[in-house]
Amino acid sequence: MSIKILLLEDDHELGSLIKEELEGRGYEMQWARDLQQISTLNRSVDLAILDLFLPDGKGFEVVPDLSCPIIMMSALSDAQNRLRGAELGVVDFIPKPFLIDELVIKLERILNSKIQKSRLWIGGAVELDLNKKTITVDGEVQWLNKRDARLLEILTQRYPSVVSRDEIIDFVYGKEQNPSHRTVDNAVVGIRQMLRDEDNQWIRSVRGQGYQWMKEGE
Amino acid sequence: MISIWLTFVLSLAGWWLYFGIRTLSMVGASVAHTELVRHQRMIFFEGIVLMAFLLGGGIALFYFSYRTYKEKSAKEKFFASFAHDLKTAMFRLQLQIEKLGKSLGEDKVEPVLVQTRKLHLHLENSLDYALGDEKNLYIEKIEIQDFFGDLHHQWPELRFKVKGKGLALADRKALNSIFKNLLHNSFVHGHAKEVALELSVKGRMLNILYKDDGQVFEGNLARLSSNVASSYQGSGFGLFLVRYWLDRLHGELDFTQSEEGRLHVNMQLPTI
Repeated sequence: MSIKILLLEDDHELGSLIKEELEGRGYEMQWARDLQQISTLNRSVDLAILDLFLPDGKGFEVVPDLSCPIIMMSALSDAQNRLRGAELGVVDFIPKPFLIDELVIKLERILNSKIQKSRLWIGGAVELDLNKKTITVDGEVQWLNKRDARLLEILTQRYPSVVSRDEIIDFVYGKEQNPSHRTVDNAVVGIRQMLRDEDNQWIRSVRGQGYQWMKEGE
Repeated sequence: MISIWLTFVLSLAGWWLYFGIRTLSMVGASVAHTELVRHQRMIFFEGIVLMAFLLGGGIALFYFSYRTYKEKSAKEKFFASFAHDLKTAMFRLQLQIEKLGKSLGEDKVEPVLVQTRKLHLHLENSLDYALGDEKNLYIEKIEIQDFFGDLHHQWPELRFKVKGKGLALADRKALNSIFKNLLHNSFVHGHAKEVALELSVKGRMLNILYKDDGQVFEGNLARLSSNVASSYQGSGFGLFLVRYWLDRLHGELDFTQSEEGRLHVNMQLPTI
């Protein structure tokens, strides 16, 4: 069963872009453009994303009518509005502009979403979470950069197969940047260091072929 | 104008007091009745002038206070509307770029996303500076590790590292501005690939050490954050705001250098 989200956004372009992006990630969306329209929609949803400033009032006005967790979004997230939101029980306040990924992370954190399957690997004191893009070692958290995350993405996706360096280059760097095999090797060395993978228990080098992910997910 | 008014009113009040006391001492003494009547008339007229000036000053004070209040409200309204419209437009642009990235490839749109991020930061900084102390703060308990980690989505090019945990009593927006400006400096000026936070609690303060693996710092530490036109690389505006926000949050800021010469930003914020 998909997760239902109610979106209240008066800007047509923004509303359709957010709706489209979230639908693309598997959420079932309902979109209202003002307070009047939201009263006609089914409000039994799993989460609501409300814009603060609307043509016919403030997004706060519908908060008491909703029983689900609420995220407010606004270009003006000043102290007064954030305080009002906290008093009304708004779970999170996200200032515009934001990246869709940021919004999705917040949604997933609140919903503990099952849409995206768990991508967690644990080995000793090391924990890799590809949803959060983090590696935690003895309580020290490290957020992966984009390229490291993409590299781990392709290796784990193709588990237990071996992934060639050329495939990694295509997936991680794109062709126009002309990275060499050496670039891939250096990136793998960096990731192994982060994973404390001295004896290649996470990533194995296969001579003449490429790299292989060695761990099953949790 | 105010000083002339104040000098005149105080002098008149002083003279009025002196003259009144002198006149009182004449009552009962062998002074001609006409002399007393003349003094009484002087006290009366001087009193009226004093009262008129006090009233005039009061009305002027009220008028100017009201005008300042109206100007402040108009300024706030203007900035709110300006910020709202501009940020909404930027948000549209950013979402369109993200959408475009899906068909063209993320690498192709990445430089444009980086530029919109810079633009947004400059806009935020300018608004913070323009509104200054008029901005209220909403102090809440904030888990620094999570807060900092959430910013990673906006800087996917960087590796983030956080050692330790800590709660700070701070305003979310102020903290956002502090970290964004530091990250911007590391990424744009320092060309860093990795940034790290080390958190530790000492008494009622949370120590936050911010460092990166970027270029060594060759400027003058003492001048950093002291004004908006510090000469080291950028305008210095970002670090100036970092200090401004930390002052408002009752925190502290100090800059040191690592053995290799990299900049270390030591911050302290109140904790529970």
